[in-house]
Amino acid sequence: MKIDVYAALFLTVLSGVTCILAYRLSLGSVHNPGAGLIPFGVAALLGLMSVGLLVRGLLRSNVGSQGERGFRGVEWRRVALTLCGLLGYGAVFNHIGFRLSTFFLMLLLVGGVGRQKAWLALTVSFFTVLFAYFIFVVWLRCPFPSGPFGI
Amino acid sequence: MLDYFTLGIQVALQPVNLFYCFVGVLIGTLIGVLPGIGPVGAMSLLLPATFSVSPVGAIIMMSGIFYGAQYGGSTTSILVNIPGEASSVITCLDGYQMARKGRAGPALGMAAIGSFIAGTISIVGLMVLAYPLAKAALSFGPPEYFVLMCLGLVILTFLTQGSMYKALMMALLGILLGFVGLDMFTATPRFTFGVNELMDGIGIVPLMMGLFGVSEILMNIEEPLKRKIYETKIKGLLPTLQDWVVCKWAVLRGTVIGFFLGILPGGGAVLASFVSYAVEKRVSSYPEKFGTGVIEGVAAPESANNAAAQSSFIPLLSLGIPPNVVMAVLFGGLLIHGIQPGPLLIRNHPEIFWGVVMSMYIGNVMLLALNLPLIGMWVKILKVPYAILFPLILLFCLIGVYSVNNSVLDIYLMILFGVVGYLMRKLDFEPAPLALAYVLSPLLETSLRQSLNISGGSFLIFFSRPISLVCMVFVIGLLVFQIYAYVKKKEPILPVE
Repeated sequence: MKIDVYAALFLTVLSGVTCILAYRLSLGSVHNPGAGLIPFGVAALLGLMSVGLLVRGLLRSNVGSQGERGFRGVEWRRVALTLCGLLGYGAVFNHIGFRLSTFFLMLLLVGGVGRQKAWLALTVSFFTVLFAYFIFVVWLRCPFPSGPFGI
Repeated sequence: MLDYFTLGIQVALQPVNLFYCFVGVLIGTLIGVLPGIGPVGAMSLLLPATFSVSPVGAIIMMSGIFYGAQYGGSTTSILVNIPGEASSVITCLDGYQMARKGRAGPALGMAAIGSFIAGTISIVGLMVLAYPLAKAALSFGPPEYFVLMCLGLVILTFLTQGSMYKALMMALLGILLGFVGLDMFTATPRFTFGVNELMDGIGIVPLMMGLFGVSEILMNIEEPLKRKIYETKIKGLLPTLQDWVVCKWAVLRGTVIGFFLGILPGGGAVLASFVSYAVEKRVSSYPEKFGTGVIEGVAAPESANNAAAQSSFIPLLSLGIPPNVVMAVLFGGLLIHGIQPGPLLIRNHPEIFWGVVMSMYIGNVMLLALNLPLIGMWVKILKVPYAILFPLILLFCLIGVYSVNNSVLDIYLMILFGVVGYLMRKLDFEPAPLALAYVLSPLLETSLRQSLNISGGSFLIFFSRPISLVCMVFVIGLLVFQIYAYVKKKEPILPVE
């Protein structure tokens, strides 16, 4: 149940912060609620329930749970690499353009995460960029950024 | 009524709408076949692509994706024992066993024809019920709407597969996420942290794609990517006369169960398929044979999930309340197109309501044609290695989410919600209540604040009107039951390493 404790702790902190932020907005009155009253109430309720989950998790900290089982045998490298690829795509998208960033992302996901051979990763990446370019830029006229030298 | 019926047929038969209907059911079948992306993810993905389409065309296409996915999901359940959709999980039990016995053809045929019958009956029910319900809903005030939405959320948390207590917490978190942006009453920015792009709130597309698309892919890639496909031969798609004799009541029972569970707030195709299978097993004279390849075990859930898919449009189109997450995406789609779902939709936009309803008939016929002769093609698509498939799905998510506002922030939000959804699944927190609550949040807040304004700050307004009183009693009863069950529940003891 340690997992539940961590989740409950996170939600307790989140609801606490939300309560503070909502309080800083105008609470108003029950008759005429301000911008912060209902968020404050919802966050407080979530906080109370999180504390309930926390207490229950602490009381049963000696037993394993379904959630803990879900973290066993996970290939974290793949998950982390995928997330890095996605974040990197967002970071470079406006700078190196749609085509180059898409090519590198596909190369990383097919070759790095999917562990396919280099020639297959390169081929899939190339044709994906080509296909996506014609569908989204030429046909649907999506205004995607271009990279250096108009690539 | 006849005028509206004719109008609906005229709208649905327009070539452009026929095209969108075909595209919708084709994509729906495809995503139903492919595990890893469901109708929620696909509809969110295609939402930006519908901006240049007329509202009726967009809704016809997105509806087609939803009910098309119910058809496609059964194909892989029966042939390869992999449910393409959550609502087809139960079909694996008897469908795959039938395939192993060399009866894949009748199983597929019964699933498709049963789905067609159920879908068609359910559309008639939708036509009959939605109009009077919308008329009745015109007399609803903010208290009724507030309590109805609360009831929908509480029932959804009650019906989730995981912990109800956690589902309720996720619903509260979803409501909080819905508060981000400008306050509708005072125009005060809330929880935007000075980011201008958040003034309109968190977009529905990054949230849904993250929670249901990216997180699903992260779940899939954390395991070995090689999938073993067991192939079975398909001989003769039409069920025998004997099959029809044993299945006629199963299809009808599945249709009725699916229809009513689809209308129920928080219900939907998944619940309908499980309940109808359980009912069929209970009424059967040979329940012990269920799970060994009994055709009623395919007919009942497949009929139920299609009936539910169609009937879940009733609360959305007549009350303006999405009963499940898929309808919540459709709700968002309607709003983006400037259409307010609710009782006035049928009166103010009859071409949309009746056009969508009539397109469902046409879509069901198209699905029958797509699913029976083209089964071989769908199985071939399933053979595309996941190592190549998942980068393509992720890329389409990225492009789809960026093209809504041409904003990189939306990409980051999608990744954030992808990680949140991934951790939620790991920690046994359901993403569906969060997503539905997020969509309902602005409506909930508006109706609550209006109710409090009307009553002079008294919460008794929710107990002084008959409809809201009845719903409130249910809400409180279910909440008390959930909390009591949570406190009393004993966790299964698992070994701690």
